[in-house]
Amino acid sequence: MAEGGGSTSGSTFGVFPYPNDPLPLKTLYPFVNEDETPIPRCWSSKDRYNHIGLSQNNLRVHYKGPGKSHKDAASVRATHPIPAACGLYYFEVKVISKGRDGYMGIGLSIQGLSMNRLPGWDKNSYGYHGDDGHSFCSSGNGLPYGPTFTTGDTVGCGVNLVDRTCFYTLNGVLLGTAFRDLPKDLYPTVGLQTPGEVVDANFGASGPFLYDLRPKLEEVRASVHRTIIEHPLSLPGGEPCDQVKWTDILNKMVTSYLVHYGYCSTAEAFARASTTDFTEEVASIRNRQRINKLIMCGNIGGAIALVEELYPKLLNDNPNLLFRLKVRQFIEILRGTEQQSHVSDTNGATNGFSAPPSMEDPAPCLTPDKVLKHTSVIQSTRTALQQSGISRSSKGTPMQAPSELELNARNSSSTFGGADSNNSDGNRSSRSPPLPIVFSSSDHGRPEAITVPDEESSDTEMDCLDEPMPVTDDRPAGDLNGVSNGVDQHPNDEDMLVDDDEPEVPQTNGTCSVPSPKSQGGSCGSTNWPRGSHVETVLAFGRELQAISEKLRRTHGKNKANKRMLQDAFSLLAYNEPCLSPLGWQLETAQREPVCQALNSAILESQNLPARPSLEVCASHAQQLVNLMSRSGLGASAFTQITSLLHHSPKPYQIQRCSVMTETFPQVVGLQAPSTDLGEPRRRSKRSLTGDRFDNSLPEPLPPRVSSVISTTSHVASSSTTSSLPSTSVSSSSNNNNNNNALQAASSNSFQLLESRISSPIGHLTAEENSAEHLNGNAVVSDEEMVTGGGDNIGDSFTSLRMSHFDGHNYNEDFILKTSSDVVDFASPAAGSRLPTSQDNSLSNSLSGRAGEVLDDAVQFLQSNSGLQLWRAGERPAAQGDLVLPEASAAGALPSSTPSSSTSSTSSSISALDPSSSNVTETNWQTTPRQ
Amino acid sequence: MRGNSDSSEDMNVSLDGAQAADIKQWTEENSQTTLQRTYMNNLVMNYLVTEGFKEAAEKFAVEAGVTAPMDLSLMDERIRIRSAIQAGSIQEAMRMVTTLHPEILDDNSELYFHLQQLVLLELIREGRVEEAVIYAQEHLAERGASDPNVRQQLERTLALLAFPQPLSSPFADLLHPSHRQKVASELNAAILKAENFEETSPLLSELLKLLLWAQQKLLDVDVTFPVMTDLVSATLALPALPSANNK
Repeated sequence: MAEGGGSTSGSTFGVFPYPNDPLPLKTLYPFVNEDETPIPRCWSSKDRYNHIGLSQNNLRVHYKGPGKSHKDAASVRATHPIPAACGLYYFEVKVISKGRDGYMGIGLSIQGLSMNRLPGWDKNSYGYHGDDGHSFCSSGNGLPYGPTFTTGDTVGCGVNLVDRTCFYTLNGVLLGTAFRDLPKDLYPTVGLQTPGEVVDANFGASGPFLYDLRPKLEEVRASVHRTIIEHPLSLPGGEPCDQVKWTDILNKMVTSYLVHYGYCSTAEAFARASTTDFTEEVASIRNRQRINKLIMCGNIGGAIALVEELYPKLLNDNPNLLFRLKVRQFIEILRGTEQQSHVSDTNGATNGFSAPPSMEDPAPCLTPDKVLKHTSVIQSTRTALQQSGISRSSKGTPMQAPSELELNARNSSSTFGGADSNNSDGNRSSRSPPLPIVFSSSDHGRPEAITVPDEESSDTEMDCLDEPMPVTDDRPAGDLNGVSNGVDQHPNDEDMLVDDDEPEVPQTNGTCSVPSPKSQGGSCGSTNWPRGSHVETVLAFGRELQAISEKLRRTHGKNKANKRMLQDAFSLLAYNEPCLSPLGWQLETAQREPVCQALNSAILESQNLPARPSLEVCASHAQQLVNLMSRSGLGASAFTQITSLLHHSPKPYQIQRCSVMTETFPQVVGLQAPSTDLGEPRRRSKRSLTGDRFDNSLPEPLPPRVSSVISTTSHVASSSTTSSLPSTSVSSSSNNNNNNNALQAASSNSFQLLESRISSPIGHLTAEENSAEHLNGNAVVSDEEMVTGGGDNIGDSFTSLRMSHFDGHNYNEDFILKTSSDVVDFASPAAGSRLPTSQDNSLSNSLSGRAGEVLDDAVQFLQSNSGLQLWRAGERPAAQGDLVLPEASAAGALPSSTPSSSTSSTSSSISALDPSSSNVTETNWQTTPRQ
Repeated sequence: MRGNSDSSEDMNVSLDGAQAADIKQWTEENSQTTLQRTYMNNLVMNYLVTEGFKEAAEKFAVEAGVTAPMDLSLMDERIRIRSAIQAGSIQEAMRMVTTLHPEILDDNSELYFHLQQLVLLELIREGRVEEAVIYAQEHLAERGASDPNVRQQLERTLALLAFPQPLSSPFADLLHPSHRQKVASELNAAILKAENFEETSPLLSELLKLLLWAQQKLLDVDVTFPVMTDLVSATLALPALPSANNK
């Protein structure tokens, strides 16, 4: 009977989508925005004739009618029509039993047609029938098309949404085009007619297809690409343009881009070579370049000062911009990039925090002396701290320490590379104080770090990335690579608090290149918590910020964005390892970029120049068009490859960019959403897009932690990462957006969280032998050693205020910040373990004198400014549940876990994988005692 | 099956929910889809390198911290060849190509013909009629006989000889600088390919072509959206309100 032709011979075993792909539909149809157009996943229990029975998650169809004549035919449609954005859609149906006569039809139909028919018999209905092998195109009469099919055969039906044709496969062999000129919004449809007929469908989520779709995908992609390339070069309404004009357009756009961002010498070289002009004066470009550079290096204070100097009116006219800069400055101070001497030291003006040397020296060429001078206050504080025996690593959080060790083992000599180049940058190119003050410390043991020659050279326009390497340290290859990406790696930031005895994490900023999952802390640099006088600085600045905010509100009315910005920034105070917190994205150096752009645009606008370079507008426009295309039912949108254009990374460096991640693990992108979504105006609007995975991925690299997890443990790890947030909305399977929402919800409620006493691995995790645990363990050991010296210094007190720290012996119970209503606490994601309440010492006991005051200060500050409620240890309501989310250990455990191949429900697979996440939904949790 | 049958694709496309509201909203969305600077920089660097702006590429590498996608010293020869062609020294360029990558001209017969045609055109431009005829007979006649496409091109080229003022003839396009530039790009791409560079034409160009194509596609199915009417200034306009320019 049936299996003529190719049914058994030569079937290529498809391996696509891959058997263990947790989100195969996302792999197959990356551009589909399932919020708007869900992809069919099963048969509809409503849209079927009575004689159809469904089982096995509505994937199996059996006939239960009398089957006497064609009047007893019955069919069923899938739950949703095929989204055009699929580009190329495909599903397979396996014949489990041909029943009595094997009158089975497999195909497509629009909604609203009678279900008492086989697909293909009616208008806008199409089918391939098993009994005769004919194709039925909206007609009761079929045309000879392929072999007949019967029990054991697998029929595939593919829809090319670019040219609106349909093809079939039989047992993995392509049969050729069956239908053309298909209408839109077709549903996968199957029809049966005689008793005993049973078929199973695979909509892509039930494992790889028998037919390998990839060559077909490639074919369509290539043909779309050809069409695009050959499209006439003409703008609507404009005349066609020839190669010369086209080149001219490109040159102009490139020039204006270069000028816009102040790539001054490039612009000059390019303009010369391409004979393109630009209008803005070089001096003006240079000014902007200097300002941008300061911001990108994290020296916001310096930037503000310079702006005030060069464009006196600008910030006055843009109070919101100034506020935004200030908030960024706060974050920079928090992360230790920007050092404040004392609040009171600097002037009391709005810009009280701008770096003193700039203020003193408006036409500035900073000498190293000044740097040193500026440094000294802080340095002395530090020295004092060190002398008191507390040389606690600024980075010694449990998760980070091992990564440093490991990284340093690899790059042992890399230590001060980043900072050096920053330093030299500061000296050479900027007129304001370079901030990595640490390196000027004489107790530092590396005096050469500060004696960077002042290369006040012709190259003033070059920035920090100039890599002059004035110091003898070898720069490891990885480090150099890291620097290849401009934005992310303006070196510097990290190291203000680095202690001498603690190796510095090599620059891994913002890149995803670090292969080790342990190196999560990399990009956040020294995200440890401020301590000592730094605490005061932070708090004082925070107060000022609050004041500015109130003033702004009074004079300009409420501003949600500002409010949120401030809240997000303040919330960082609440975390022990802020860079791993849901709000940790704020600490990424990449977050300087939007601030920098906003300022740059404001300056340009004030000079009547466009706020954005046309190149960028065009790129976004193209993206918008592609999204609009997929919303408009143009299937070609799936094959435009706009992502690879927009996310282009030159090959040699490809591995390090997250575009690779995006391509390879599309579903992961959802994870980064919260980090990009919250603070920035770039929050994805609802209408913005199909293919929104790309949207999400546009603005930022993955948060480093996430990405490193991804890079090693891939999908499952990240899925469970997601799931470990206290939200139940993760349940919707394989849907990025839901995950986003979950994360977003979680992070926006960050005030609820926080009881994050990170410490040693404990509780339910103790039993698990996993790498994360080892990480913790190591960290704890080293940290305890450091801590034993003296427990009551200011720094430590703040550290524990920061809700965490592995120094469980000293202050186990810290504060618990929570909202009044919600009882969910959760540990800072990285840590994932908690300390026993029973062993808690009262925090204040272990603090003394001034430390206590600072702490009180801090508490007050937090309470008054962020709406947080804080409890002292012991005051904590007893009945509360503690939700502990051992994300890191979950990730660590994952490599050994078997990824669930059935992805119809991601959430279930997640809970299976993550031993702890099953608890996620329980609100009341018993405190797990430490062993 | 072929992906580019435009008409069928555009059928039955209704516009529910697809209407983009107005320019303002679009512009807002546009600014929210901001691309990370790194990617934009990569695009620009790619442009500089593929188009042979060596000095600019070097500066850009430093200034923007973008790593050049290839050894920039490799660009020298390519640039020289390209400028030779744009300056009209076609035979010189061909010699350089043969030295640099001997296989290129052998492997790309179409490109080879285009270069030879350029030689011929330069001779015609300079009014060296006899030399032109001899060159055509020696180098091109044989291929013209076997390849109808080549023959047609050859005929067009030689037809220029019939006009006292070739520049005002119907075939003047061949003498336009853009023709040189086109061949130069073709050769440039071939060299890049021979040097295993991943892209042979600038991605920026592809991106903008994609933009033009997508706009046309959408206009073809009557979707209303702010159309970019000028790339250099990134001017948007609603088709219905042609002059409602809005930045």
